[in-house]
Order: sequence, then C-alpha cells, then structure tokens
Amino acid sequence: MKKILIAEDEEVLREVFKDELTEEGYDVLEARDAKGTLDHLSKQKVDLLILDIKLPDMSGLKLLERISKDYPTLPIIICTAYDTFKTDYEIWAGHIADYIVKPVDLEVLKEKIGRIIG
Amino acid sequence: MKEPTYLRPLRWLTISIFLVMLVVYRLTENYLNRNLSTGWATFLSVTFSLIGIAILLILVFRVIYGQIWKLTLSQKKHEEISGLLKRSKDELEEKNIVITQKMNELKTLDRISRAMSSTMDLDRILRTILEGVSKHLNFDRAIICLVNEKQGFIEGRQATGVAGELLSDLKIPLADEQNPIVKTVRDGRPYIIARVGEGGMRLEEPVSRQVRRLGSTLQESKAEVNSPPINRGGTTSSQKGTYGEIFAGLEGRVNAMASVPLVAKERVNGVLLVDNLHSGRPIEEEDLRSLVTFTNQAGLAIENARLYDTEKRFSEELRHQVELAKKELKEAQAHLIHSERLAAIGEMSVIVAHEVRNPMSSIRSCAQRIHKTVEEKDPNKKYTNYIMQEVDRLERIVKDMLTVTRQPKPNLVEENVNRIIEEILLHMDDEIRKSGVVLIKELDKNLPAVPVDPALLEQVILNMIKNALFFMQDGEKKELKIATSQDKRFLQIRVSDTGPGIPVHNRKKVFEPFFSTKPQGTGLGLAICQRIVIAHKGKIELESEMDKGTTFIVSLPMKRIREKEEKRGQER
Repeated sequence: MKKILIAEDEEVLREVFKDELTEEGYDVLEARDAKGTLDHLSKQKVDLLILDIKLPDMSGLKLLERISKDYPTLPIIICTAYDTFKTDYEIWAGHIADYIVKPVDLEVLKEKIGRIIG
Repeated sequence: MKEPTYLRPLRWLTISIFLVMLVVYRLTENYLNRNLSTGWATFLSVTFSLIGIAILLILVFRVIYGQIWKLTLSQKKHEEISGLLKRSKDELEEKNIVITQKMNELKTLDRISRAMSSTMDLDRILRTILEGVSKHLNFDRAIICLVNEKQGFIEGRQATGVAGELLSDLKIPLADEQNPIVKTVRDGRPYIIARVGEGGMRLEEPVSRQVRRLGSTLQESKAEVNSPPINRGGTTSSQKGTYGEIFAGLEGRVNAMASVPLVAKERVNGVLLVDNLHSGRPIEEEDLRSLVTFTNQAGLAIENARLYDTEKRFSEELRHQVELAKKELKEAQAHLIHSERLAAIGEMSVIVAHEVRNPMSSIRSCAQRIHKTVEEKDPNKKYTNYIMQEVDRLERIVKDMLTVTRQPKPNLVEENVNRIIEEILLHMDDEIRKSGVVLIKELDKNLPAVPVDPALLEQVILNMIKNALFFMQDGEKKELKIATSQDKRFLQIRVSDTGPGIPVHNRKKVFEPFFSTKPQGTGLGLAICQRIVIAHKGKIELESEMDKGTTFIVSLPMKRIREKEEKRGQER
C-alpha cells in the first residue's frame, strides 16, 4: 500500500483529504506542522508528500529545501492558497512533482496523485 | 496835437515888424513930406502901404492857416482814437470768440473724457472718441487705428461714417515707413494728408507751431516740414488697406484728411484719421488744434483701457491656469485615490484570499465527499451541488479581486484573434443557443496574427460576451454580433448586443472596479478587461445607445506599431 503524508495545518481539510485518500486505498499519515512532517519522514518511508506551503512553524521554501535535500527521491505535491504560485512555480520546479491551488477539487487531487505514484 | 513851437516867435516877429514898419512909415512920410517932392512922396507912401497891406494879409492868412491846421490836427486825432477803439473792440470780440470756443472745447473735452474714464472697455472708449470727433469736432468721418506691436501692424479698429469692409481691410505693416499713417505713428505728430493730383498724396505738417507742439508729445522731431510727395501715381489706389483705399472713390470730394497720433506716456497707441467727406469742408488749423487737444486726452484713455485689458487678460489667463492646475490636481488626486484604493484592496485581497481559501477548500472538499455518497435521485444531491457551485463562485470573486489589483503581465505570442474568438464561441455554443440569442459573426478573414496573451485575451472576450448575453436576457430582440477588423495601426474586436444600453452617466464608470449593475456582479469584470487590454498597449471603448444596444470595442496594436512603440519606450 502506497504511503501518503499529508502536511496541512487546516484540520478539516486534512481530515477530508485523509478520508478521501484512504477510501482510494492509500495509507495516509497526517502532520499539522513542519516538525511533525519531518518526524514522520524520519520514521518511515513515505511514497508521496502533500505539503501545504504555509505551515505555522517554518517557511515553506526552507522546509521544502530541507526535505528535498534529505529525501531527494520523494515526490511532493504542493497545496497552496496562493494562486500566484503558478508564477512562482519556477522557484519550486526543481523540488516538486506538482502543485494544486485551494479550494481543492478532490478529483483533481486524486488524478495528480495517481499520475505520480499510481 | 500842439501848435509847432517855431510858429510862436514867428508870429510875434511878424507883429513886431509890422509895428516897426508902421512907425517907420509914419516917420518916413513926415520926413518925405518935408524933404521930397509930392510925386516921390506919394510913390513911396503907396509902395510902403502896399507892402504893409501885403504883410497884413500874410499875417491874416497865417492866422487862418493856423486855425485850419489846428482843426485838421484834432480831426486826425479823433480818427486815430476811433480807429484804436474799433481795433480793440474787434480784438475783444475775437478774444471772446476764442474764449467761447475754448470753453466749448473744454466742456466737450470734459464731457468726453468723463465718458471715456467712466469705462475701461476699450471698444466703448473708442466709440466715445468717435462720437466726440463726429459730433463735437464736426468731422464727417473718423477711423481709429490701433498699433499691434506684436504682429507689427497698425489696423483699423473702429470707425464712424466708414464702411465696415474698409475698416477691416485697413491693415498696414509698421515696416511701411512711407505710409503716412505709419509715419504719424513713428513721428508721433499730426499730419495733414493732402491730395495731389490723381491718387497722389503729400504730407503736410500743421503750419501753426502750437498745433505741432500739441501734437508732438514725443521728443523726437525727425519729421521734415512739407515732406516730399509720396506714392505719386496710380499705385496708391491699388494698395490694399492703405490711405489710397480710403481716398478711393471719393474723387473730387475730399482733398485732405488729418492723421493724428493717439499718444500716451510717450507711446503712440494708434492714429485717428478724420476727413470731411460729405461737406467737403477743408481741414483748418483750428480744427486740427481742437483735434490734437482732444486726441491727447483720448490717447490716455486708450492707454488706460489697454493696460486694464492687458491686466484683465493676464488675470484671466492666471485664473484659467489655476483652474486647469486645480482640475489636473483633482484628476491626479482621483487617480491617486483610485490607485491607492486598488493597492489597499490588493494587499487586503492577498491576505483575505489566503485566509478564505482554506475554509473554502474545506467546504468544497466536504461537499464533494457528501455529493459522492448521495443517490442521484436524492434532492440533497442538488444541494451539495449548490454548495460546490457557490464555493466556485466565491473562488472566482477572490480571483477577480486578486487580478484587478495586480498589473497583468501578458505572455505575448503571435496569435490570430479570430481563432481565439472561434474557440470561445465553440465553448459557449450551448449557452448562447439556450439563451435564444442570434449570433452574427463578421470576422475579417485577412486578419494578421498579433502579439497577444491568448489566455488573457480570452478572458476579455469571454467577459464581453457574457455581459452581452446577460443584458439581453429580457430583451425582445437578441442579437450578439462579434466582428473583427483592421486598419494600419490597430486590430479591432467589436462585441455588440441589442440590450438596453448604458446610460451616459455610467459609461465611464463601467470600467471602474466594483461598479456593477448586475445583481450578482462583483464589478470587476470590465475593470480586469481594461487592465488586460492596457497591458497589451491597446484600448477598450464602448458605444451605446439607449434601448438599442451597446458595443464594446477592443483595439490591439498591430505588431509593427507595437514594436515601434516599444523601441520608442526603450529610447526614452
């Protein structure tokens, strides 16, 4: 079973994502901040990370750099509320597999996940 | 007159001689009677008697002559006195006339100068001057020419007894120094322009030194007395706007006209031309004298009016400038407020967008999950659908708000605009058909590719079409016309509807952010369109007629024009 880590500080969203993806047959782990995210990653092998770029305890770019340095093969989908992300994409391009802008359409999210680790 | 003094001793001498002779005669007679013969004695006695009588007669005549002489003398004296009397009487009368004239003149002058100083309106002053000249100084015609130093002309400004065309034609360059009117200006002294033969003129200075002095308040005295004849021959009458014109057609009637400078503060402001066309009365020194006295006053009034006029114009110009600056300031302020407002909204939007999108995302995802579990026939399916639709609408609003406050950065590629339109229409085919709108396409097949951001331009065209459809909802006639055309500089996209039209007072506002007449509109659609079009260096305009419809026109620069402008922009 593929393991997906959801790093998202919005509790409701995290829960909905978890339910949806669990139903879809993924093993879903949750983290509410950067610390939790790094903890999970250090404890087990994760197949995909869904990362909210704005977590409360660390800047998105810093966290992303750290993760991609420590786990260079880990595919990451950025989940963001900034629609300017499209224009900022170049900055992140080397580190991420894809991105999705909130409000998230679950079908789109599943489609993206399927394409990366399916 | 007295008897000459030499006659007095002569008279006494004569009497003395007479007495002596009488005595001598008596003595001689006695002597002769005693010593001579009676013949000799008688002879001598008669001779002496005759001499005595002669002397007596002489004396008598002398006395009579003296009396006559005296009489003549007194008569002469009388005549002399009566002559003197008459002369002084004449002189008195003459002086009286002069004084009365002067008084009248002064009265007139006073009246006119009062009338002149009662107004600062140049035209009214000129009218008053002309009235004074014609009514009180009794000239038939008068023209006031004013010096226009800026343009280097002296031109007819107002006249009395002269046809309008003549006045408007009277424009003499100040460089034409041979012209008597210009000469009057240059010398600052009056001249009489006298007719010499056919169309010839001669300038004459007034004979009276008093008049000359009065007229010449300028210190120069270049003018020669009796200047040589000028412009002799037929050339004068053909010269447009010269004194030749003024004389033209007055053959044999006017022989002279006076040209008097209007002087103030050592500056000649103009010239007053007068003549007696109707009466043919010659212009006398006396006339000229009154005229000069009068024009000195008039010159001051004109100068005052001119100064006042200049000041008035200056202050008007100043006021105009201030108004203009005020207006510009107001516009700049409005613009600033507008941009500040946008910037503030922009900042807010970014924060709000982020904060709102998270819960929106949660709502949407939850609804999506419920939606999936609800049976197709269950009415709840409709509601979960509504929730998702409304979230999507919220998302559009947030996106619009972010877009309108951001300067769009078009990613330009060369694209055929017709293709973009066709693609949009393909997508909207269903919607258009359902709304019962008749679509008319008038696309220019020879449209060249222009540099555009297809996604942004699509947004603009889509917005215009959606607006058109919305405003035709309740209309009877529903026609959506999409046309493209080109000229040398621009490519045009026209989207027309047959909707109710936009009221005049709203036509500018439709491009302002948050202005909307749609019940669910955010008022950002056209504001975004405008920003996108401006980012393409184009323009968006509208034409609207109430109850007929509205057309939005997007003009995009052709590739060549755009490149040129960019080049110019870089050079700057």
